[in-house]
Formats: sequence, C-alpha cells, structure tokens
Amino acid sequence: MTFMYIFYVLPYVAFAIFVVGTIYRILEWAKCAVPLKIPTTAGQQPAFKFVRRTWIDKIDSPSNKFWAFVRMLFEVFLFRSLFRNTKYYVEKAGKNADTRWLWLFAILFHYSLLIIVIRHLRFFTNPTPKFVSLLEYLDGVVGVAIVPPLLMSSVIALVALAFLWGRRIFLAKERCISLPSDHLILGFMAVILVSGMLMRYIVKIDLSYVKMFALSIITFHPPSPDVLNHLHWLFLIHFTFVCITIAYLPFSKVMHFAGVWFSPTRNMPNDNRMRRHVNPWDPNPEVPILARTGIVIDGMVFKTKKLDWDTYYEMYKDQLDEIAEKNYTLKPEL
Amino acid sequence: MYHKPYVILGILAFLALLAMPYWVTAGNIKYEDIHKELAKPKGVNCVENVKWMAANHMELLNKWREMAVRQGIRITHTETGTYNVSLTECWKCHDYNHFCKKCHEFMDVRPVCWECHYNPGMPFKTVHFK
Repeated sequence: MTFMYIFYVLPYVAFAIFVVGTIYRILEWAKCAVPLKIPTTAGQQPAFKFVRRTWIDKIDSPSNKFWAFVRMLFEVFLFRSLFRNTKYYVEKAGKNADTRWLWLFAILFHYSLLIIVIRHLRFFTNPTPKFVSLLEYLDGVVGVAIVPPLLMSSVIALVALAFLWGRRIFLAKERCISLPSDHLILGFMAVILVSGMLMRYIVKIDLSYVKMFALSIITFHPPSPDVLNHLHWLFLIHFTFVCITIAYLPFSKVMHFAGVWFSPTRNMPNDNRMRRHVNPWDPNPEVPILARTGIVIDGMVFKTKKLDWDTYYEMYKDQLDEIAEKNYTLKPEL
Repeated sequence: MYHKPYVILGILAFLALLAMPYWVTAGNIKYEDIHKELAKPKGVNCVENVKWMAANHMELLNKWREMAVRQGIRITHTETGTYNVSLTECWKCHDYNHFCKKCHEFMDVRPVCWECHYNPGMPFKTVHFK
C-alpha cells in the first residue's frame, strides 16, 4: 500500500511549514519599529536613595537591560503578568476579584505539555537517554497502582485543558471574545491528548512499529511497507493531528511562544527618565515631530495628524456645546 | 530589522530546541528493525493470536496475575490450547534476554513486574512446574 507513505511525508511537510512560517513571522515582527517607550511596570523605579526598592521591584520595574531580561525570564517561565490576573467589578465599587486560577491552569497545562513532549523522545531516540526514562518514571510514580503507570502530566494536561476550554465556553465574557480559531487549537489539543491517552490505557497498540516509524522519520530512513501497514488507526489519528497542529502553529495564536519575546511592554527597561528613546524610523529626531510638517522617509512625507482647536470644535460642536452648557461638569449616567 | 543580534540569537535558539532529539543523544540515533533482531520463539502458536499478543501481552499478564494470585486458577484454556497460568509458561517458547528484554529496552519500557517476580534474566535457574 504505497499511499501509506503519505504519513511518512506528512511530518516533513508540517515541519517545513512550521519552521519557515515561524522564522517568517519572527522576521516580520522584528521589522516593526517600536516608536514609543511603553514598558508597563508594577514596581518602584529607581528614585532617591531613601525610597525602598527590593529585588521584586527590580524585576517588575527593570531599570536596565539585565533586569529587563530577568523580567522576560519570569514572564516566559512563570507567567508573571498572568499571575496578576484580576477581574475588575464596577458594581462592587471597583473591587478586584482574584481570577488567578487562570494562571494556575495555564502554567499546569504548559509544563505538562513540556513534560509530554520530552517523554515522547523515547520514540525518537535509540537508545533512549537516561533523563527521558527518569522523567517518565517520576511522572508515573504517583499512578503506579495501574499497569501501565498512570502518567500525571497527561492527566494534569487534560484537566487544565478542560478548564481553559471550559472558561471559553461557560464564562459569558470569555465566550464573547473567543474566536473560532481559539476553539480550533484547543480542539486539536483535546484530540491529541485523548487519542494519546486512549492508546496508552485503553486501546492497546503495537508500539514497536510506532517507534520504528518515528525512528525512520528522525533518521531520514524510509520505513518498510511492513512498518507502515502495521500502524494502528488510532496512532494515525494521533499522528495526523499532531502534524496538522504543527503546520498550523505559525498561523495561530500559539505563536505567542515567539511573540512574548517581542512584547514592548515586557522587554523594554523602564528607563524613560534616564535615557531618551528615539523613534527608530524617524531619521531626524533632533526636532520634535509635532514641530515639523511630517517625517520624510525615502522622499515620502508622512504627515503628523495635528489638530487645532477650531477643527476640533467643528467636529464635535454638539457635544462640546452641551458640555459647556452644563458648566463643564460631567456626571455618569445612572 | 531592529535588534538584529537578539533576533538571530532567538531564531538560533528556536532551531536548536527543534533539533533536541539529535543533541540530547549526541547524534547517536540508530534505526533498528527490531522485529528482525528479536529471537524467534520456539513454539508454533502463542496463548492468543500473535498480533493480539504483541499489543496486549501486558493485559493478559495482568489478567493472569489476578487469576493465579487472587482466584487460584492455575490452568487456562484459550483458542490455541491449554496453558499454565504462570510467567514461566512464557519462557518455554520465548527467550527472555533476546526477546522480552530486548524489545522492552528498545521501547524503553520498564515493567514493574520484576520487582517481585522472577525472570530468566536473573541469576537463578527457571523451574517449570507441571
């Protein structure tokens, strides 16, 4: 059955799309200028000597590149800004509700996924490195009561995924802002996780052929038709969805794994008052933009949108008159 | 492109992470047709059909453990014949070191069975009972 070779070609195509697509998107982001200094901070910036500044302030309000890098590490490995996740309630007089369970399930999901990916190295390496075996042993040490040992990472990933998806389904505001693509990628994850767990615990499959297939992919050694014909249908579903997901990553929100490094609010040191930030695409920064007619790049003039009072008044005449009538006192509508 | 050194470093880190299987093994990944390497079993047929056994032998051993240890059933009849409900029944046909262990090592599977139970890979003689 030669058409089974589709499954051998599939991962290469998916990986090519993934690598090229990711690098393309990284380069596109790298081409974007950051015209303004916009770090968001949640700590005390360097001030007078008597103003207390702890190491947490240094992370949350970094004053140089080193501490900005530390903040990036906290962001990437501990999801620091998600840990501040609170919900603002107007009806409760501006009280914030703690919604950090999102942080908890997000971090559980990401780290479980990391462990699952590393565990899969046992299919792609021969002989298997010791740390992969050790990781799998530690992963299954709690669930050793059943055969094969229940691996905690997959259970945790499944529970966390249920919460992250349930949040988008059952909470009204989150459902409102969820796009079909959000559900799509969560659906892919669910199919991959469930099919993988089914193969381990319920529908037993002959893994020797799966490993031979995986080795043939990684060593660029085409598998024999015998190997391909012995692949279980459930494995093919699992495998196909993994390939589709990998190919889909550059087009999806999952690109946050690269995008997080480009967040201007995270990766810029908060040194506005120490250093002048020059708009990188402005060739003549000596004169402030508002004092010029525009920015000249390659002979083209990009005009600044200056608005004088008369034009503004013409635009919003009705509202401005109404406000003036009330002697400029504004009250919220109740 | 802005911040070129950082971006190039980032892309290189990304590619290095993708190449993980190669560097964690120091490029030492061997393609192996394990079915050709395994010692051929002596008998004509296995307890169940061979394809089923390849995927489900651990299920069968689990069932056998329950039968032998908890219910005291020591003889079982299957479609292919009558068998002692015992691990030693397996060693009559299968060579432990060159069949069971070899494939388990290839798959990086560590059965917990041998923490209590005997296998011929241990330095004792196998005793078959009638």
